[in-house]
Order: sequence, then structure tokens, then C-alpha cells
Amino acid sequence: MTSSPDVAQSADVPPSSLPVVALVVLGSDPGEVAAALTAAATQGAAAAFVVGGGAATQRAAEEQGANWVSSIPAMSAALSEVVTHVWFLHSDCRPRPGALAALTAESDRVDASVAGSKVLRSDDQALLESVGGATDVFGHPYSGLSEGEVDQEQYDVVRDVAFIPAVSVLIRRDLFRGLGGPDPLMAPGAQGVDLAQRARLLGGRVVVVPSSEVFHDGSCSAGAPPWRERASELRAIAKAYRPLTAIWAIPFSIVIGLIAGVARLLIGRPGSLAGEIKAWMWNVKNLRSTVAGRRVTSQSRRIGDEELFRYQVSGSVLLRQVGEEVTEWLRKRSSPDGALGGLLESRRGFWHEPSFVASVAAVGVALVATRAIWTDGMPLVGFSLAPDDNWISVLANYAGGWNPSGLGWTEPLRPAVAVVTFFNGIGFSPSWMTFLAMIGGFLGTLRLLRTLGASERSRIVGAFAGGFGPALFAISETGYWPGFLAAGLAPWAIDAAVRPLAGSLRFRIGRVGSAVFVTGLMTALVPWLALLPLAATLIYMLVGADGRWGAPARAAVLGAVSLVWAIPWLTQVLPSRLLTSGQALTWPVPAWLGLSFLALVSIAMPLVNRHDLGLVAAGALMALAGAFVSNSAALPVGVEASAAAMVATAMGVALAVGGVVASIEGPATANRLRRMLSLLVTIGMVGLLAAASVLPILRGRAGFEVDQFREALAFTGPRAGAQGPDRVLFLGQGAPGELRTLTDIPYRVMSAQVPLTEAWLPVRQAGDVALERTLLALRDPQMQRPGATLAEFGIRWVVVMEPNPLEAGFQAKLDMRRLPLFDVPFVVYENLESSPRAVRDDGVIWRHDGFGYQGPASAGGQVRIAEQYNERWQPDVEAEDWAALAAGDTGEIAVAVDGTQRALAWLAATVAVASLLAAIAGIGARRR
Amino acid sequence: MNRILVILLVLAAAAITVALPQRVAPVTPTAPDDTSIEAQEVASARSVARCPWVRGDGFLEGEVAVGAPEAEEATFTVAAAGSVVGTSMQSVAAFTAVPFLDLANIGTGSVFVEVDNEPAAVVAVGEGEAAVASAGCRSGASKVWLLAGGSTLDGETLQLRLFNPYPQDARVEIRVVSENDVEPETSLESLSVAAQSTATFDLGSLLALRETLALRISDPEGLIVPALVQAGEVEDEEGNSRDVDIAAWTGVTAARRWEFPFAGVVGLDSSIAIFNDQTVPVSWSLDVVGEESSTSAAASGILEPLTVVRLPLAGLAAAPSGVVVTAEEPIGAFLTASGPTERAATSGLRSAQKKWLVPGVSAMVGPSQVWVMNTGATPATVTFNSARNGQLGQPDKILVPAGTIRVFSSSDDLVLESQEPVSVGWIRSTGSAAAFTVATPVSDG
Repeated sequence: MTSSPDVAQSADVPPSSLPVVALVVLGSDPGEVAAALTAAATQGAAAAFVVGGGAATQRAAEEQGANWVSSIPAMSAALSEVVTHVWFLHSDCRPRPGALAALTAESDRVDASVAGSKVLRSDDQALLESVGGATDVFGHPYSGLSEGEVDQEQYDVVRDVAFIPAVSVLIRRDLFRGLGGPDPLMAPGAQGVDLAQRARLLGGRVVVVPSSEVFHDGSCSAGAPPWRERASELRAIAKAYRPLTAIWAIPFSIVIGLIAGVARLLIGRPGSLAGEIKAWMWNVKNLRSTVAGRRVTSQSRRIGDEELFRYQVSGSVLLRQVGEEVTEWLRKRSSPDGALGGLLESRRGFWHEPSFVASVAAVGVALVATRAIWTDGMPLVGFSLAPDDNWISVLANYAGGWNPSGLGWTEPLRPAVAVVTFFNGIGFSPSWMTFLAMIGGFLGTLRLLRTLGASERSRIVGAFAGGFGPALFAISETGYWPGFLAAGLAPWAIDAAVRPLAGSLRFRIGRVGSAVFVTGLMTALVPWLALLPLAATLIYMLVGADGRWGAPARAAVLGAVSLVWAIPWLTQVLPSRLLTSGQALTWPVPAWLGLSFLALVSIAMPLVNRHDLGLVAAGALMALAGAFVSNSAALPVGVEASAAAMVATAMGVALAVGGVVASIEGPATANRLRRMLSLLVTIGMVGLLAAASVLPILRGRAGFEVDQFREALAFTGPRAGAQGPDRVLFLGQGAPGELRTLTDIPYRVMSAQVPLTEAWLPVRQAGDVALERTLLALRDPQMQRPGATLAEFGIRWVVVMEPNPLEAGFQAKLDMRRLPLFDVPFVVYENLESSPRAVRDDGVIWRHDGFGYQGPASAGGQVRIAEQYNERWQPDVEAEDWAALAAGDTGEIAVAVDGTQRALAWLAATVAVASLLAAIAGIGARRR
Repeated sequence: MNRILVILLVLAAAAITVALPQRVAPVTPTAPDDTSIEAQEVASARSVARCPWVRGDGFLEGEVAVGAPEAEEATFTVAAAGSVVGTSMQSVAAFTAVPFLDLANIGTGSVFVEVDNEPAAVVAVGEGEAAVASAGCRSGASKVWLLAGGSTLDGETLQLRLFNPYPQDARVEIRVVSENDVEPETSLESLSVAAQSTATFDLGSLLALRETLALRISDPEGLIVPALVQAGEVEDEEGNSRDVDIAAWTGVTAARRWEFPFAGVVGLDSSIAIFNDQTVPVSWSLDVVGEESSTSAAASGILEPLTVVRLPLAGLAAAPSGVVVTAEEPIGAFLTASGPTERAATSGLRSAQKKWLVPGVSAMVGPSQVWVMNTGATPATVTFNSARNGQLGQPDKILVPAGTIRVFSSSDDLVLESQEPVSVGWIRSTGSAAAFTVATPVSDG
């Protein structure tokens, strides 16, 4: 090697057709630098430079005949014009003889601008350290090497790679001018990634040359903590990616780093999370230089980001690594023969799957979205009401007993009441049910989209829309809790219909059982949803790529069978009431949300392939059909039908979102405009989903409004007395549950605990008519004692939800007192007259126990109960106007059971239990 | 279905869904609405009256008199100090009167009366050795009341009573006006009247030496009924003070017309206090109706905002006479009268009617004078039935020529009917005490 920078004048200058290589040793340790120079002396470099270090390093360099410079730009300026290649070598590297020759020969042969050596460990030269490799989209390198892998020439082929080890890199001079060498601020690993990425963007080819071997001491990275690598990875993608890629890649990288940090924290590595934060701060601190580097790259780049994507693995390498670490941690703590150990081994790859990671993230999102519900309980608003703790009594009355809602009637309780009360009774609190509904919606949509052949990315995004999307939160905003729960089951029900029923007998039994169970449960919650699987499959058949009738046929059967769950109620209700009873749920879709969604769907439809078009179109049609039914003024639907329509909308949105996201996976030969549009609609849809859902999630109530009644009416409990819960007359919009109207003023009567059991009102009876006429009469200013009149209906409290003309009947009256409540969104009047629901003719008050009455028995006495007269009241009931008079002989008054209703309820229960048992029996069964 | 058709189908569905009218959330009406649902025939009181003043003690034997020819029962409730202290249900045989002492032994109180039918007239009356008084009871509720005519000059005491019969506190705001303009009495600007109680204020101690006081009482929260009680004391020959007659009168809501069938009364110095609580000047006019003829615009003027004026009727309305006060905007008008020992006051009548109930006359120790004023252009034949022992007696008649008054004596409660609208009131005078009481009209509708 010559010591002069003027290589052309040396007698050793090779002929002009041969590469002229300038060796650049990077390092600051004088000893290492000297050793590197000595080892590289026989490689045939025409000149040698040392970059880095201080005076001692400079002396060491000059003793070896090399030129010392302080920076890479200085070295670049000092390079002779005849130099054709620059070989960067870390000072802790020792190249094997012939390493440089191999680099130059192979790079010249394959016309590569950047070539890297195979790196072996200097402490055990048989072990591989790096042969280059791929990265993920977040710049994290993936070598594919196992820990301690022995070099058996298994990687010895010259190939294009996403990154090369920066410890030994040959760069062609012309590219070096644009690249400017490795970024000195970066950690060694990320340096290689950055260099390779920038080289590619400038149009260069980056290869690894395994025949060029160097032995690496590793001391260059010894002083660089792991967070420097993470920081450098962020810097690398910030410098390389175009804005459209960077706008999502950088935030995702940060989030992934956060997840990894938290996961490592949980397994006892707290430094990782701190390191992530340090990495962000480092990038903020060095933002200026990052922007400058980015500018340089932008000015000279010749290709788009898609060229980088070709050499990237899908998903996140970091998350996979963390998954491995967590698996290892769990394995160390479990017995190899135990179930956990076996599961970990058998599903080893499962933990790395993006779907699994997304599911874990979904659990986290669901916890955030329901955090207030866990601490404060489900808000009591709309139809989100407290299930009765006495679930056996509720089920008994569902099965042919009394419906205590309003002034009571024999119309059966809604199936939703029975289902929710049952699950609450066996330990699933309303908070759990809400949480599981969100998770169920996510997982169900994930499963459904997989069944429909969507890509993994589509499945994940679609599943988030299904479990946490704005259409789902629209349901909770209306307060229709059973609809929210049903939305968590809807994708499972549709999936059950879509999946072919093929497999072993036991497998098929299990599938049928689970299908019937899930669909039945959904139908019990919202009966009109029995039609959802059929509607969904028919729509998909219409617009999808698959025109077979199997799915609609299965859906029709499932829907029909699921109706058995609701049969005790269905057989007693007029079809017209099924469609029109109750006030329809109103869902004012924000114009920006609806139009944006439609616009994105419209743009995506020409971009996606035919299969995904079916998803988008089916989803959009379902969403539109649901929106039409629930929102159109032209359709006089009631609460049940509108709830079902909203669930359909939520499902449709999820499917459409999944399909739209698939547009980004268009053909590789797609033109630039198409790729741009695909990216735009994908980002737009994800952004729309996030923007519309972030507030409901952050509020922590799963989208439900603030609790209205739990605290505000808490005072009614202690003041109830021996008579049991008092009745409340609600006036105005916002009252709980289903409402009647009187001169367009909504009203209803309900027990003061606002139980779910009384959410839905039975058909209007004589008592309701009497109450309405009474309420009108109370408006007479001369009526000074409305309390005495309301006492006949057992009404003790009057809650005025909003100003309305009927309130005048309670203001400034002798026996109504307005309560001085604060921070309560309504006005409450107390009836000062004694107003028990049941009183014996001698004035003794009987207690209301939920569905009947109890009191001291007395021969010959009659008890007037403020319930609709019905001949099934026992014993010895007579009518007193609209109310019932029963004998007080036995000390109990209750409604006689309707045998037919009870039998139907048993039938429904049998079907439910049988389907559940069948589903359980199918667990573990395999397809043939 | 091919791609194009699928896309077109989705776009068409979107267009239809967006274009069709959306359902809007129902809005609860805030104004009353006629309904086809017939209101329940509720077994309840059909007439109510709130009497803010009744006195039953050694000085005055007060009674609550009810006139309700169609009623069967009336309930009397006395509320004081936050609770009901006395209640009684009485049979009503056309007319009845319940001594206040039978309801509650609390001296002076307030009574809420509920009558099971309509029409019903209720008045609080009382007579003692040195005093005679009566105060009207109000059936309607109001958020703004007017009272005027009281005086806090030497020898006079004036008490304001605010009756809240309901089981929740009421908040009241009072503006006081005198001949000195608006009185900045902050202690009355905003105050609370406890549930089921009567708040009393000695206006003499708050605003002494005022010749004429007027009050605008608003109750933004709750409902109250106000009354003023004027009492006087004189020195006897030994120089000792003794109580003389008292007058009590109940608040009214403003109106454009006030009729006083008995304004000019022999032996009493009568005056009309006119109170404008508006924010604009109001022009007013006073007509005098005598036994032979009437004089239009015997007095007139413009009353500035928040101003009260007292019009002595001496020289304007020769006794016996009635007066009519009219104004272009609603005002309050009150008749007060005094003599050496007499005190009397009353609010006026808003309009003439064809049928009147006159309870309370029978509760007086001696006969009273019933005044009938016809301000119309047509003579009115007035038929009146006396109520005695629960029965209405044989009718009697008088003719009241147009634009005149007629006076007759009665010791019984009366039901009057006239072919033409007239105004009716009655005066009880003992020579040392007097009380003015207007009758209660029975409207046709």
C-alpha cells in the first residue's frame, strides 16, 4: 500500500481496467486499527484510509502507511480519481486472504454496486455472524440465522439482500458519491440496513458475496446498547421511505416497539421499554440530520419504495422475536410434559402469526374501551339495564309467568331478558358480557374473513372494524345493549352458515351444535337477526365470486332453527308488533363518516381483484341495507327491526373494510396510479376507522352514554320500605327502555331499580289507557292532589326527563314534592301519598317481590294490586276497574303458569342445551 | 354477476340510501296539545282556593266561607311552619262557613280549600268587637302578583303575608314601590318561603312612613299567594294605644280593567291605589258610577313605569258610588278606605258578569250592604237568592239602571243572576269597623 493519497503515481497502480480499491478502516482504537491494516495489507487495496479516533489512531494509521482523516466526507475528498471502489472495513475485522478479490470479482460479475462479505465470528471461526438478509418494513433486520449456526457453506451463493453487514462493504465509487458511505450516527447493524436501502433507492444492486469472508471481533457493537440499534432502524426508514409509506410505517414502528417493550417488561426485561423511549428521544434529538439525510436521498433516488418491499418479510420481525422470547420464558416456567409446555411446542409458530398478535392487541383495545365499565358497572341508559339477580325467577316467568313491565301483562318477557339474566346468573356480569361481545366481534370477523378468503392484512383490519368499529359503537350509542351483544355473535353466525359442513361425523356434529348455539343466542338477543345469515349469504352469492347455494341454504336452516330460542315470545306476539313495536333506534350517521366510507368503497371497488370485490360489495350492500332499514323515514320499523338492521350495518362495514384494505395487495404489475390509489384508500379507510372509533374507545364505556339512573335514582332503594321497589313514572325522551307516547310525549312506568326485565313494554291494556287518561286529567290546574290519583297505579316517583306539558300536572301540587337533587339530568317528584302496589282492604301493605306479592294472610280479606287485571292472577281474582283484586287468604298472590308457554320454554332450553353439548362434543374432532 | 354490474349495484344502493329521507329523532312537544284521548273523570277536587289570611282569636272570629251551590264536600287544610296543622272535611250545602279556630288554634293562618265541584267561591271573613275584615281567596295560580294601597304612616302597621301551601320551598322576588319611587329594599329582593308555611314581613319596620306602598311579587320557583294586612291603632282619651279595625286584601294579577262596585262610601275616606309594574308608561282613566248616573274619565293620567299613585275619591266619587279604572296596559288597582277607626281594603273585579256567588255575608254578626254596579248601556234586572239553612230561598229582584249602582241589605249568603253583566260586592260596617268584599263571578264557559 502506498502512503500517498495520489494513487495514480504509485508503481503499484493496477491497469485501468482492473478495480482500484481504496480501503477505509472505520474505528478509533489504535491497536485495532493497526491490526486491521496489517490484516488487510495483502488484500490488494491501492490506498488505505483510517476514519475516526484521535491522535493515537492517527499515529497508528501513519505507522502502517495509511492516511488518517477525521470523517468520511474528508476521505471522499481525498480519494484519487482513479479509485473505482471503496472498501469499508470495521477496525475489529480481519479479512481472510482473498476477501477483497472475491468482493470485487463477484460484484463486477453480477454488476452490483454494493457487496458485502460473509461475516464469521473471530472467537469461533466456524460460526456464522451474518450473511446479510432481509428486513421487515420497519427496518428491523432478519438474517434467518440461528443462534450459533455453523458455517457449512449453506448460504454460499451470491444473492440480492435487503441489508449487508456493514463491517465489510465494497461500494462502487460512482454510487459512493451519492451514498456518502455509512451513516456515522447509526449503530453498526442498522448502518448496514441504511446503506443497503439507500443504495437500492439510488438504483444500485446490493449483494452478499459469501466467498469473501471476514472475521469479526464484535467490539464495534459492544459499546452500542440495543436501543441504539432501534433508534437507528427508525432513522433508516425515516431517511429512506417516501412520505406515503413513512406516514404509517414510522407510527407503526413506534407502536410495535412499545408492544415489544411492554412484553419484555412483563418477562423481566424492563430495559427494553426504556430503550424504546430512548430510541424515540434520540431520533428527536437528531431529527435535523435525519431530515438532511432524507433530502439527499430524495434528490438522487431513482426508484420507489416498492423496490425495497421486494426484499422485506411480512409482519414484524421484532414482534416475532419478542414472541419467541415470551414463549421461551413460558416454557422455562412450565413442565415439558405439561399442557402448557406441549401447547407451546405444538403451536410454536402460532404465536408469531400476525392474527395472534392482533388478537392480543384487540384484547388490549377491548380493555381500554371497557375500562370504565369494569370500575363503574354498565351504565344504566336506554336498554342497557341491570339484569335481575334472581335469574331463576326471571326464567320461570319467561316460561309462562307474568311480565311485570309497565302495569304488567301476560305477554312473555323478551328472550333477550331470559338470555342475559341467565348468563348474569351463572357468573357473566354485564361488564363481562360487553367485553366478550367486543372480543367476539373481533375474533368472529377475523374468522369470517378467513373463511371468505381474505388476506391476513384484510382480516386483521376488518376484524378491528367488526370489534371496535364506528357502526358497532353506533349501536351502543343508542343504548340498545342486546343489539351490541348480538353484534359480537353475528360474524360467528354468518361464518357458521358460510363454512361447508364437511368432515368426520363428530366434527360435523360439533359444527352444527356450535352453529345452532351461536345463531340461537344471537336470535334470542335480537329476533330479527335470524335473517342475518341468510341475507348475508344471499348478498354474497349475488355479488361474490362464489355462486353456490350451499351457504344460503345452511343459513336458512340455521335461522329457522334459531327461532326456537325465542319461541315462547314469538308465539304470543302479533307479527305486526314484531316489526313495528317500540320506537325505532335512531342513528344519525355523521355525513363526513358516511360519505367518506362510501367514497373509499367506490374508489376501492375497481382496484381490488374479483374475489375481494365480492367482499367489498357484499359488505357495502349489507351496510347500506341495514342503514336504510334503520334510518329511513319511509319504513315504520320498531326497535327490534332497527336493532337488527344496525347489527347488519356493523357486519357490512367490517366486511367492506376488510375488502377495501385488500386493494393494497393488487398485482405487482399494477401501474403507479393504481398503486397510489390503493395505498390512499387503504390508509384512508384505516384512518377513517381510527378517527371514528378513537373517542368511544377512549371514553371507556364501549360507546354507551354516561350512566343516567344508577346514581341518580339510588335514593329510591333505601326509601322503598317494606312494600318493595316502588314504581316510577318517567316522562320525556331518555327514559329507560321502551316508551309509549301520549300526545307525542314519551312516557312509561317502571320499577325504580330500572331492571332489564322491564325494558320492553307489553301491548297496551286497560290500565295503560286509564293511566293515560289520568295523566291528561292531571293537567287541570284545579287538580291539586295528583299524588292520590297516581297512588292507584302504585306510582311513588315521577321522573321528568325533559320539559314537557305533562309536567305541569306535578308542579305546585299539595301531595307532590319536587326533590332537591343536584347534578342529576332530570327532575324528580315524590308522591307524598302512600302508594304501595298492593294493599289489603284493611290498609295492610303487601310486598312486591318482582313478579308477585306477599303479605300477611287473612281470611276474607281482599288485596288490590296495581297490576293489569288478568284471570290468571291467583287466588280468586276479580277486576276492579283495570286493576286486580285477589284474595289474601294464602299470603301470596301470583300468576298461574301457562302450561303451553312453559312447554315451549322447555323446548327452547332443550334446543339450547343440546346444541351446546353438541358443540362441546365436537371439540378436538378433526376434519376427515 | 360481472364486475361492472356489481359496482353499479353498490353505487345505486348507496345513492338510494343517501337520497331517501332519514328518520329524525322525535322531539317532545313543549306546548300543550289537544288530544283525542278523553281525560279521565278523576275523583278529585274541582275547585280550589288559597286563602293567605284568616284570623281566629279573641280579636277577630275568623271564618272561611264557601259558596258552592253544586258541591257536596269541601276540604279545609291549614298549613303552617312546614306541615299541615289542621284539616277538616265539611259538607257544603250551597254555602258553608267554618270557624278558623275549628281548623287550627294558631291565631292567624292560611288555609287551602278544595271543593269537590264548581263553581265555588271562597272568602275569609272575620268579625270582632273592634274589627271587621275579609280577604279574598285565590283559585288561580300566578307567577306574578301585585299588591298596593298599604300605608306605613304613623299609627299604621302593614304586614305582608306570603302563603306557600305546597310541600316544597318557593323562591320569591319582590320589588317595592312607594310614592317615593322604587324602594331599594334588598331584604325583599329574593327570599325563600318554606314549604307549607306563610312568611310574614312587617313592612312598617322595613319601610316606615310611606303613605302608599305597592309590591310586585314574582315566584320563579313554586307558587305562593300574597296578602297585605293593614292594622291601625289609636290613642284613647287616657293616651293608651288600642287596636282598631284591620283590613286584609289579597294579591291580583294585572288587568286592563278594574271595577269597584263600592268606592265612594259614606263615612269613609276612600282612595284607589293604581300600580304600574310595567316597563312602559301606562295611561289610565277612572269612571265614576253613581246612583243616578255615571261620569266617564272623572280622572285620568299617565302612570310612569314602576310607579304607584293614590287617588282620593273624595270630590271625585260622591258616596254612594262605584268606580271603574281602565288602562291601556295591565295594571293593578286596589280600593282602600279608612275612617277614625275603620280600615277596609279590597282588590277589584276584572269584569262584570251575569252570575255571582256571595259567600261570607252570613258569617257576619249583622247585616251587610250588597252593592251592584251596572256599567253597561242596558238596565239590568238582578235576581238574587238568599241561602239559609242550606237551602236557597225565594228569589228577589232589583233593577239596576244602566250606568248606576244599587245597594241593598242582606244577612244571608247570596246567589245573584242578572240579565246583563254587573259587578257585585258587599260591605260590612259596624260603625267603628268596616270590611270590603267583592263577590266571586261565575263565568259562563
